[in-house]
Amino acid sequence: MTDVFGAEFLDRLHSVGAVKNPASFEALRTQGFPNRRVEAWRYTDLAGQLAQTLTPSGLRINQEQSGLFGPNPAVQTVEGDALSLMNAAVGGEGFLFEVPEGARLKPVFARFGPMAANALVNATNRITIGAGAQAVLVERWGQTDESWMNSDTTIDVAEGGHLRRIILVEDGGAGTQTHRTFTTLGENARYDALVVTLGGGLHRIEQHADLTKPGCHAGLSAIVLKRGEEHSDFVTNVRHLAEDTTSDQQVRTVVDDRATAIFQGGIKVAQDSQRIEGDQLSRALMLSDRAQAFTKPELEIFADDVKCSHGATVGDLDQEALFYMRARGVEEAAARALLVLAFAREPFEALDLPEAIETMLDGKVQEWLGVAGRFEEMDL
Amino acid sequence: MLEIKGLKVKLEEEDKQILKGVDLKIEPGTVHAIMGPNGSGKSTLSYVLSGKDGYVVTDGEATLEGADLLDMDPEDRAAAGLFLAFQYPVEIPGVGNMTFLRTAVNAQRKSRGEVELTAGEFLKEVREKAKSLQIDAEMLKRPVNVGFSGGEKKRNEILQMAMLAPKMCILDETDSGLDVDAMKLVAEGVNALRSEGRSFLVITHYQRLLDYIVPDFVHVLSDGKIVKSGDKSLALAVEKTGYAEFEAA
Repeated sequence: MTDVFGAEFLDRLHSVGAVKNPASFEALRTQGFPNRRVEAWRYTDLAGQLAQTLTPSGLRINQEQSGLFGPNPAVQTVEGDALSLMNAAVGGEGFLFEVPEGARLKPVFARFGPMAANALVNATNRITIGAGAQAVLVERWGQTDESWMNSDTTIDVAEGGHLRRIILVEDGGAGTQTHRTFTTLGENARYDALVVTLGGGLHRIEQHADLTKPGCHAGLSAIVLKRGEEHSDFVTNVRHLAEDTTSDQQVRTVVDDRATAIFQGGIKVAQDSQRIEGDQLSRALMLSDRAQAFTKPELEIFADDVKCSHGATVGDLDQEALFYMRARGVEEAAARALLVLAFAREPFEALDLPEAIETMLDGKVQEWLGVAGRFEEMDL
Repeated sequence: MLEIKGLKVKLEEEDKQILKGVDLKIEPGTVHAIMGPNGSGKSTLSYVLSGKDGYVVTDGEATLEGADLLDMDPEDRAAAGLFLAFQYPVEIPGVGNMTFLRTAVNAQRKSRGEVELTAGEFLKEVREKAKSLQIDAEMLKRPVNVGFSGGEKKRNEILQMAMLAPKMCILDETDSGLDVDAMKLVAEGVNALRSEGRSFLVITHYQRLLDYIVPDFVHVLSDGKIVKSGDKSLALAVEKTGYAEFEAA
């Protein structure tokens, strides 16, 4: 039984005594990791990750505010998913974030990592938003080179609750991050997620959302900035399981050098789910001839009364705008930076974020562009 | 100020000669107008002088205060004192009008070795200048030219010109798309900037704009060459007879 993909990687984990949940481990050892013949993994090859010798270690939480965060000892398995099985097999404890009914929180910031080199961190996290509660959660996942962070987060947003969640995934070097979120939304509940991924060797971020009751909404957006040999795979899967539900996906990708970015955007509408609106727009900026951007919309619609839109564009910066700015004296690099910054900001609008968070994210993008602090906002 | 000698220009994409030997000398403090029919090369001249891609200079030269313009990047030409008011100002979604303008002002100052303006200094100046052009705070806050009417776009060009204080201003069909009131307002803005050390090249189809921005010299450009030069009365003659009379032989 050595022929499954990643068998040697798993045997190494087993030999260092990392397995805490034998049933999950055996299931994974039998099915193996997904290779590129699996449609959902067509563009992402885990061979490099699975060739590594990694040391399992726990999740380090640097919480910037106290109170609502706690450890989550419960390990759930998401059926069939190999990376979730790995998480369960090595017993990835994670965080618990619970917002009580009716609470209205100030933004909560939490950092995960950095950690030691060659570490394998598995985490199972749980977020619950009580009925009518409102929260803004900013998660920053960062790490050192040559490590792998793998997490599953389950979210429940109860009736009328609203979670706005920023997931900032940033790596200095060749790190791997694979994170999956599974959200269930109640009546009139809202989940607005914005994934921002910067740097890293390989990032695969999945956002799954089940719209189970009328009036709920899921916004699953991403800003992807990649250069060098970096690789990003952003996957969404929205399931409209109830009538009168809406979803929106805004993905903005900037790829330079030889970087690769993939967006696999799923919208599924069940047979009895009428009066559905689902929008999806993926725009990619290619800053180099050798960069690659793939967009794969996957729409499965079984109901009649449905308004779904999807669009994908790939292009270069607007040459007319570049010339206009240069003709005013703005040097080419700054003109390009201003245009990229404007492009990357597009998903902000739908989120209506507190100004401090927008400023922080702007700062991250400016840092990525090498123009930190250059374009400060002015109050008129 | 600006000196153009035997300038010949063709399009990069197709082998088509647009300018066929343009000579023009503009002294400091003077206003020159170039008139000409569609396709005569008016806009090409303004784009070549400001450094837009897509044109190839096959012969001739253009200098600004003795410096070779054609060898410079667009941003260096701007820092050297050249300004082009666009016929179609470009909309730039997501880039704030003020962020853009301050970046431009400070990039030019930095390039010339001058101290950059602080946010406070910049805003004070921009508010004063915006007021005389009837540009309100709402317009200043919006992204560059996005959702601006034709008149607002042209006034925004003049605001940029006022803030950047160039030496040589080229106005490319600034009157296009403007009603009389908007044109008067823009012309007033331009006239307020006329000074001994600043020159203008006003490119236009129609004589009408020249009632408000009165030129010292008028040139007729036809088929890539200046075929006639004179004083402001030449503009009136063109208006009366049309361009046919001035077709290049």
